[in-house]
Amino acid sequence: MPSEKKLKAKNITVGFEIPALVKESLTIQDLVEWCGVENDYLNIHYDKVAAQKEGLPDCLVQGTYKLCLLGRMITDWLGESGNLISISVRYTGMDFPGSTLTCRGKINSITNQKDSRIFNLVIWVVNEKGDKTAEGKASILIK
Amino acid sequence: MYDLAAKFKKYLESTLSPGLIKIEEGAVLRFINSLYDTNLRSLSDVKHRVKGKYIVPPLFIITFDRERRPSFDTKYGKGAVNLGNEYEFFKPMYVGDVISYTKKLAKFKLGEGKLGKNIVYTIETIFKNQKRQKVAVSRWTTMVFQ
Repeated sequence: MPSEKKLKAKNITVGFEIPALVKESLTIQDLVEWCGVENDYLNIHYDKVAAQKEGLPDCLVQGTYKLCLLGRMITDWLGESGNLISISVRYTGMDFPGSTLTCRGKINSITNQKDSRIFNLVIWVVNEKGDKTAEGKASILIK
Repeated sequence: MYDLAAKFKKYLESTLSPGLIKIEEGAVLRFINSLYDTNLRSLSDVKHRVKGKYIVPPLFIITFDRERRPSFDTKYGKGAVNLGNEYEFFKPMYVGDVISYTKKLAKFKLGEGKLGKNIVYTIETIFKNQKRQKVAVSRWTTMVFQ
């Protein structure tokens, strides 16, 4: 859940890595649950036969799930100290049930504004094989 | 596929199926429980509140404007891949807010890859709250292949 600790903008510098978020051994249940959350029941996400018919080895983890895990990583760290103002992700690889996903983020640049600071991050997801399966950027504002 | 390209060209920059959604506590709880592996039964367990109203996680907006589809609609091609998602947030959203959205086909490109001929397109959606304030913009990029 979001941290209650107040972050101090002056302590955050370029290169700082925010706490990683690890989602251990994804299950079909996780994917089905996400289908319900999104109202998108595309069968390749929960029916192995349908997924294999499409040439996939197994059910496919939704890209949006990885995006939201990355969002959670940022907002958990940020707590009430600031706001997520943008996030964008490209999906560069596929993940399947059994995968362990690790979300990571690093401060890439900082923009000073009149009464706040914008921190730009590079973010990514790496699976248990070490493959980067999503990467992107995000910006947060801390007052 | 190239007939499809003509169709895409026709829709470029025009507004597509606007919609309206009220943010309900149950839907927010399902979003949080799914992401956090929790079993919260009430948002009273969630601390993020402003003037008594619960702030909705910004990416909850991903649940809006989704289609209930059991399988890919083959009239659009053989299959589709979600290439990427982009979100900008301008205002917080609260449980009870009524969010309206309009979307448009922002751009598309014909291409050819490992899976054959394809179209890569981006749908841009603008979300506004009941006060007509822009709360977010999303851009979804999808590749449809033949």
